[in-house]
Amino acid sequence: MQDHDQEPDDKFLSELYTGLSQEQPRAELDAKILAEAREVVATGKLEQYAARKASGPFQGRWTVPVSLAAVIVLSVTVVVMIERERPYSLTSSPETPRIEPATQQSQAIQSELSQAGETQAGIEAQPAERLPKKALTADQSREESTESDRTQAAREKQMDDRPLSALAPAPVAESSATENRAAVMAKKAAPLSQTEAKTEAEKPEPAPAAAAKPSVPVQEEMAQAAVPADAVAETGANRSRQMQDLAAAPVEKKISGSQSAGSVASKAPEDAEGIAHSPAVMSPAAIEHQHPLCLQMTEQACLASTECVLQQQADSKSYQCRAVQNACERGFAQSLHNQEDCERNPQCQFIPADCYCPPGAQCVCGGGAPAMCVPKPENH
Amino acid sequence: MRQVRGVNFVRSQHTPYDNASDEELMTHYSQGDAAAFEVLYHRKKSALYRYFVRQRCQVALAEEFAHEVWLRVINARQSYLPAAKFTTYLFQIAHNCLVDHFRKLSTSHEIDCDEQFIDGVAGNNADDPEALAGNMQLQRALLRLIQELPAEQREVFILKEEANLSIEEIADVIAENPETVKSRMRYAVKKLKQGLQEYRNR
Repeated sequence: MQDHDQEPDDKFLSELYTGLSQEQPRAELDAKILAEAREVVATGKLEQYAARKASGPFQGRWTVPVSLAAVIVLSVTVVVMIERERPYSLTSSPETPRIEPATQQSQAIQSELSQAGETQAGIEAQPAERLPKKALTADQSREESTESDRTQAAREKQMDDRPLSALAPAPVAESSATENRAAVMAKKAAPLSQTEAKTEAEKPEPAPAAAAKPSVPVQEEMAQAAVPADAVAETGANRSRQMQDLAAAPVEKKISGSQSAGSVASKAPEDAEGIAHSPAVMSPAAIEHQHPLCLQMTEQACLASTECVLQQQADSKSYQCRAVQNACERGFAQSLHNQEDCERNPQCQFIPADCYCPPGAQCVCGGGAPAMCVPKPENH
Repeated sequence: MRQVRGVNFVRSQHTPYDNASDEELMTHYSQGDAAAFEVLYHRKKSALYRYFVRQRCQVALAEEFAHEVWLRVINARQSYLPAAKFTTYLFQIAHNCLVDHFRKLSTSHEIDCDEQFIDGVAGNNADDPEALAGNMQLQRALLRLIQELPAEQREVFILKEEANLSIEEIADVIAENPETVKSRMRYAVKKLKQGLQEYRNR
């Protein structure tokens, strides 16, 4: 290993080199280096202890298993939550809303309409007794709405478990009361409209506090009151979306959709003016009677219904469920996209859906108008 | 076997590490025993220091390099594995330190030792005044010849004389082929001999 077979001259060279002075580093440098060596060892022990202490109980061999377990638990939780959040998914769950045949829907809606009609007749007979009570101060009405909200929430919870197919008519008294209240609020919210003027004139006592109330809170209350959990099981997202749509809609439009409780029969011809040109126009009374029920429907139910039409608002692009307004719309279920059903009536024209995506469905695009069946434009 | 020069420190007390090898001392130090490092430092400090001094002829720079090398040893204590000889490990660090220095300065390895430095380094270990004078002259001539060697040959020669490393160990230190190291060594010795012979013939 060592290369020491040196020649005599090499040895002489090494001895000569060894004879050179033996330089040493200064003592200060020695002390400095040794001190650093000691210090590093001392602090290194402390650092190791501190690192071990700071690392916590999940460091070391438990890091990976704990991390994996946490990731798995989180993933499963998220998947379960997503599945629960999409009860109306068209792809998987057994709770997927089945599109009922138009006849069943129609029957259910008809029975509900008939009951609602009876109740409204009773309401119209005694408007002076009920309306002033509703038209109290803003605080009182808020308290009432809070109580009714609680009741509605409990009812919604019960209804959430019911399948969509069980679209049973709601208890008429409650429904009518809600409609009545919504109508009153809507009237309060539109002081400048003709409807307001007429309604106020019919009231035995004016409600100054309510009249002075700004329209936005009234809209909110109206939106809350107009969405009772009577008709269908709906998701929280659908519910909130519907409420937003209602709140965002113009006040007068809502009023026209909530006029069922008021005695607005005299106004009906004015409302019908817009569709008077159509050869398949319905009677205004029928339109008004059906409005509240349609307002309560979810998008899914509205699409399946042959008595209500889901329409996209031109300005806000939101969807509103309204009653059928003509013979073309009556009997046409938007969810079926059946062009033949529509055009069976030669005066009707089928307009296919324009990038409409029903709630809970997975679509390529969305935000457009659903399929419609409308009267053909007259050729002058 | 030659004695390693620079192990000339005097320790009044026997420590448990007196008979321990360099590798054992470093292992003890890596486990937190500062006393082991102290023994190791005193064994190696002179050789390392002279390795720098004889190559750069600058005391301040040599101290700086020595400090740097020992700091690297201290900081790398946890990762030290006694797979190779500690001396090889130490001088590998020293070599890298020098290479970094030259690379940083972008200068050649060539140095210029002044007469004062050479006078200071020349030994005085002869009793006879005539012999002393002759030896000092020879030592001065040797130092001058060493500085005139190419850097690669100079480093190989110093590593052999100061650290008492074999050709293979030197090859490990400077990361070169042993044959290359042997060739450099041969050339270095030859040049030194020729230089000394010329000096004698004057």
